[in-house]
Amino acid sequence: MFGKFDANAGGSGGSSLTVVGPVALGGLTVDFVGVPAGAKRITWCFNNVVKNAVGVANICIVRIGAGSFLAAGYNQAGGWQGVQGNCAISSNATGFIWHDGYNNNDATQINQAMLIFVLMDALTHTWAMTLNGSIQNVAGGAVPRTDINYQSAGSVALGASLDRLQLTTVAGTASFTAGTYSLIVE
Amino acid sequence: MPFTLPFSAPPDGVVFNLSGTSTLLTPIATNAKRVSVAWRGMLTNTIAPAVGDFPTFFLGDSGGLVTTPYSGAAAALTWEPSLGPVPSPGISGNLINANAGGGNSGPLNGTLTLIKTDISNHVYFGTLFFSAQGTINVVGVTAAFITLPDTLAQIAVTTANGIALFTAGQAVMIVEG
Repeated sequence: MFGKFDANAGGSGGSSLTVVGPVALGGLTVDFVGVPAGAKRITWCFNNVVKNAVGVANICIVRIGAGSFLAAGYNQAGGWQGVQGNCAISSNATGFIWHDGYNNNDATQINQAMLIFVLMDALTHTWAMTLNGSIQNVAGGAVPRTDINYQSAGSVALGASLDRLQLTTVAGTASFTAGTYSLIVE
Repeated sequence: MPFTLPFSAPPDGVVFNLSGTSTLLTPIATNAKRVSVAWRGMLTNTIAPAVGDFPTFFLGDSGGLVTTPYSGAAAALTWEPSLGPVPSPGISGNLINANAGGGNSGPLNGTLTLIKTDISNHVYFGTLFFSAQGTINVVGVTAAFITLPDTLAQIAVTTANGIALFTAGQAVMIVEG
């Protein structure tokens, strides 16, 4: 059966998932254009992501789009947790927030994150997104912390078929200096 | 008029009973690109768990499990009305961090999703959510990845130090290629 095999079988079974990547990150934005029409679930994984700038304006955000990237209308919030009781939460209507600990966001922090997009309404092209990420052994910044986890969830209506994904920052001025992404579209 | 949901056939899940100090989830098809594990009712016999007693998922190829530090961080959130959220950092190298029924926590329920993000180099990315209802309610999350020497062949549900015994719980694994 297409797309189905039994874990008990061991060995190789039928295959339906195609992994794109790993693709190296770089520049002010990381764009993937060419999501095929009919996509219903998208899994976007990021390994060892590093940026070159600090501060609230340089928190990562993810945008999706149909023909162009949508920069308004996102309903969502994200938060992070660290040691010493530190935590924060905020929202951002210009993209899905990737709340990577803005108080100590610096060039030494390394992010791991997975985003899952699910098509909620094929008529309005409304997509829901959940994100789970972590930073390991963060040092420096205003309030040093060791480990951070962050999550967010939200939704946005595109009005047309999603064809692109973008990782960038709130201000769009920080560069991605390291990391890779991999992508599965179903 | 009855409404018929569009339906795509999911892969078959395989159920494992959690017992002993470690339960191996295996076999796993060699072309697996996404592995989903859900578990419920996970309990261990540790009353006052230290970090080493926290339940942990270790991944491995046919040559054995990888227990060296993974890239990422684990965290558990507890909630008491008088305290507010109290973040508790986990140890790196483990994909889960919480006591399972020890102390004030109830049994753990959660899900783990693994994606093979680099087919050639056997890089597996994992995200995990769990909760435990008890005297202290716990919600835990993590995201991490590990590069295995070869293709994923087994997942161990165990503890970091391998001492605590699992006294209850089931896991189901779904493998997609």
